[in-house]
Amino acid sequence: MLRRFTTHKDFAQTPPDQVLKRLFGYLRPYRRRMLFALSIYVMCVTLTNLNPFVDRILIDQYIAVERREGFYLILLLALAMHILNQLGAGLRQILVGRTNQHILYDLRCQLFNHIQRLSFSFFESVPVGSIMTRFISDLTTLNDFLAWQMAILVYDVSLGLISITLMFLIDAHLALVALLTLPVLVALGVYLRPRIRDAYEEMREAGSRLNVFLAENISGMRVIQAFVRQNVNLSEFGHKNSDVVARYMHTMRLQAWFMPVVELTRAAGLVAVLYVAAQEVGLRPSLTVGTLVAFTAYINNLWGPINTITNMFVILQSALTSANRAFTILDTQADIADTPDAKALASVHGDILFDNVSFGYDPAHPVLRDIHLHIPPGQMVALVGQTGSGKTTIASLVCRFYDVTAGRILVDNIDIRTVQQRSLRQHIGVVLQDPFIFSDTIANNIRYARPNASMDEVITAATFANAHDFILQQEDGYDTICGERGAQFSQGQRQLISIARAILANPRILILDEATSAVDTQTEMLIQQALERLMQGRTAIVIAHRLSTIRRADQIVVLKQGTIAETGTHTTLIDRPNGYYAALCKAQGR
Amino acid sequence: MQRLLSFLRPHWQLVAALIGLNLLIAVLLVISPIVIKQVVDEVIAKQNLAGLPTYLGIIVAVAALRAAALLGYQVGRERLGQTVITDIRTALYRKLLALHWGYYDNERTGSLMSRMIGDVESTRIFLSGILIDSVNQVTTIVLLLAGFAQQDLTLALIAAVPTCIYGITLYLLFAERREIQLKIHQQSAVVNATLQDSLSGVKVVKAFAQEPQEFKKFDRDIKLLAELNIRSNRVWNLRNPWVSGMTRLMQLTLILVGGLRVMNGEISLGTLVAALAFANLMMVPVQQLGQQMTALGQTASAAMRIFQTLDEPIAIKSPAMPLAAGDELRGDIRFENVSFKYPKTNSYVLKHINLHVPAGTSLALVGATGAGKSTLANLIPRFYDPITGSLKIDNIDVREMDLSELRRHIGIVSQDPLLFSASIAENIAFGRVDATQATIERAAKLAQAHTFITALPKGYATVIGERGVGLSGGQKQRLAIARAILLDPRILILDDSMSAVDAETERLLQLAFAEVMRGRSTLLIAHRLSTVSQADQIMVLRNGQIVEQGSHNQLFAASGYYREILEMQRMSTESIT
Repeated sequence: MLRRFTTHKDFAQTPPDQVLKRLFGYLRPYRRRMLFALSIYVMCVTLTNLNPFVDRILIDQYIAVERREGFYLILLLALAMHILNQLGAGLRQILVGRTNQHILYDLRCQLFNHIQRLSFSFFESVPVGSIMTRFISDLTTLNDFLAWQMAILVYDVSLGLISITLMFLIDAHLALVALLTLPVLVALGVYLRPRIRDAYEEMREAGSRLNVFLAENISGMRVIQAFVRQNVNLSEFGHKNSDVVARYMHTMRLQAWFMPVVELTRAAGLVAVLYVAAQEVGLRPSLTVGTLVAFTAYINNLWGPINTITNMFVILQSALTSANRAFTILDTQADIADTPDAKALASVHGDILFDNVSFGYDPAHPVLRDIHLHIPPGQMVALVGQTGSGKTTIASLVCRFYDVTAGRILVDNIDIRTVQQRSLRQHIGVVLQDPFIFSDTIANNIRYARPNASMDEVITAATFANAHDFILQQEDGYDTICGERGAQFSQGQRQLISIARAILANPRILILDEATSAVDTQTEMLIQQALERLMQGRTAIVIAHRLSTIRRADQIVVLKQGTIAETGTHTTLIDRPNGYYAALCKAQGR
Repeated sequence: MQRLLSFLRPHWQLVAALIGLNLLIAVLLVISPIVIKQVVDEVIAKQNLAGLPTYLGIIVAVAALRAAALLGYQVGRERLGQTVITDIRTALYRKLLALHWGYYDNERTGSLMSRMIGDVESTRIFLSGILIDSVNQVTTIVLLLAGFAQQDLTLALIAAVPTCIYGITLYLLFAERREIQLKIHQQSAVVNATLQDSLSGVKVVKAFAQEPQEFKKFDRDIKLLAELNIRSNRVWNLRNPWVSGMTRLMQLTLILVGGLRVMNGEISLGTLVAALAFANLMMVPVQQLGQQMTALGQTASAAMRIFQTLDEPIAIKSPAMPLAAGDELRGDIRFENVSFKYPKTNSYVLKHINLHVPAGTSLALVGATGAGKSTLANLIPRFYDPITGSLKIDNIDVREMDLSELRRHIGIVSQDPLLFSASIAENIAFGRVDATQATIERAAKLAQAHTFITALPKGYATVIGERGVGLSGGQKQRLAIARAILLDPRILILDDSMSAVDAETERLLQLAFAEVMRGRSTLLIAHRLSTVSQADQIMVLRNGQIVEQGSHNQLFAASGYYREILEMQRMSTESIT
């Protein structure tokens, strides 16, 4: 399923009519408004087409014969028609514009909600930049199509149909001659259609590669400068950019064939009409000079819409592609979804049981094998082991960020797959290795889990996490706005904020992943004391490399290549011959 | 606007050719009805078939010429557009590469991205499409008015007055709308930032089960955006139809005035019909011009933002005449009375720092979080410049050295190791693109990364996901260390580079560092005193000032802050063993 984001050729597999049908589904809630707008449209087109008719009456029946009575009246009527037409146009545009915004809003909400439901594995395989593109360019293209291009299409189609009808009404034979060249355009469309679609796809892909490159470059600019990579990256940028340009030009060259061919076929149609007319004029009563003048006008009228409609094809194509991309995301099932009968986990004691759990991000490479581990409520468990031994994975499994591939995890004797994910996570507080700070005030970052927490509670939590002092030193104290990812703070300060956040959440289960690694010794000691107070009466899973943290644990679990190598307490493990923990203590106790 | 046009100057030939083609297309459009008229009048009306093939031939020839011109025009226009945005985008990217760190402290990735993509795109649409098209439209309108005036001056005036009013109202409307457009743009930036935030922070969002709150934020932002858009749309559409309806009013006025004059015998019926035909022809370019005006507002603000970035002063750059340190840089570092504060803040982060790291020796910085350790380290590669005092390397003020030369001699491992979505090998060779596989592996081995890299299914060719997803913090840090080691720098800055590494790896790394640090000037920021104690010199920073300074033994004897933390750490390990 996820591979579909990278191999865009798959998009072509979905039948266009189904995509369109689904797309029009978004118009359904607004169908009354759209129908109203459409009827105004029809009125406007009719009024506009009546203009020459009124003018002809004015000229032929009044000015030409110098009839003054009634002249002003008809002129006033024409003015009234015009005002009505303009009012209609304004109203229609406002209606369509508003609908367009509402649809865009609906689409954004739906996509956002859906993406938030998706599992971690989705975010690990799809870069943020590419999700952003869905929101920004794809949704805008779709919206543009639904609201504006559709209106243009309706206008041009009705104009074309009126013209053709009038042509046949005047002289069917000549009308057939005039339309003789139409198949040429259809053939051209059939030939270019798949080519333009492929070219468009390639163009978009190149564009998206450039965007991803840019996004990464901008966020990694500091590293680029530190390593004096400017020239290398500049030439890489040059390559990516000229790739985009080349593909764009390729697409445009294909597309550029439409207008000239339309131009030529129009001329051919005219010449055919003129030729036939010249031969047959006078032979049939309908074939007058006036008819001919009208015909040339109608042919001109007709080719305009055809031009738009062929152009429309390209617009339709890009709309379909965008729709497909958005729908692909919407159709991506969350790997981890609540079962329909999932219950809310109301309150928790904090008893955790890993029952023969195995797990692998990629089934071929298991990260954890046959883990059996029981953590009674209120206990603190320390996970120890080398980088990559699976410590963080165990913590992620408790939160159900991933589902186990074998075995089960029970919280208070309930399989966590049978409860609502959110209710489970509400009881768990996590401090991640890489603390993430939102671009919001410090206070709001701390009260993240409980948005309605009072300022007093925020300050208490910050004081508890030893963050209060440095926060007060900031320009606006707790109201200081954090930069992107909290850029203005040191790693240690970011960690303090994220600890305060977990403290305020007041969870039954605490997960501390390397929570104090980047903090200086003094601060670490203070946090340690705070965390110990916090862990009192709560179940805690602590991942740490520092023995000072580990030795206080009720249970120490040593992981080695995804299996539990040793379990016990500090005193039982310290003297185990050839034990990893014993060796670790020796190494740090130097 | 003038500046925007200057982007077209290097391509003036293409611009001229496009305008020429455009005029040709317009002129050919006018020829065709004239020929048809001839056919109707001369051939059909007079039943004289002799001239028919010639006329038909002319029609076909005109159409063919016009088709060719259209093809050339379209391709040329797109070519121009792409050339111009490549220029603008490259200029922007160059600028971003050159801008100092302080700039990035205050800019969001999202807004810079929208400048590089959205703003550049709307500039392209303007320069390659609208501008050249509108030259054509204005010419057409002027030509038509001239032709008009030849027919009848009064009627021409009737046509000219609404056209002028039209132009002025369009301008006013555009000015009114510009404000809202600006707000819309700002709000879009807010939406994108919110989106970026909740997408990149998705782990935290999920861990704290805050999806509804994130949605509420997003919902609030996009609702406001939709409202602004609807308002802008209303402003435009309540007025625009009247403006574009002006041409019809013009026709009706022509019929009124012209009609009365015909009836009074002042002009012929033919003249009135011709005048109406002119008015008809005028409708299309006037309407197109109006549509293009809408886009103008967007272009103006887009161009403004692009120039703002391009004009951003680069606070830190190479001097015009750099003093060469060259390959012989020894790495003697000296801070002389250096004070520093971040722009737009009041409090100094570093106060009167004096320190000296003789070439080839190491200095360890110790101190509480936020004491200014990283800031101090960031001054050496000139990521920031001191406010007062000076920083000298080999007795040359760093501000007088070539910036790239200086940085090329410095290897940095920062707290938050940022890796790029490229292969592991490419990431290690980040600073030396031409490094051989052997060099890369040697660096990886030194950084204790070789073993875990070769354990990966694809080894060194493994591509790292965005922001290093898939690797643990300790693994990322070791890659960052390998990346710095590969440079073989004279000066090494290790900013808390072992915090996320497990104890055993840390021990191995310490051994490796002892090897790597030999002969290089090293600035070491660490919390583990076991690491710090190996340094030749140790400095304790507190609130931006050096409070203690000396060797391990000296500081230990001084019984200050250093002694205090040492005791604390010792206590925790003693109680273990």
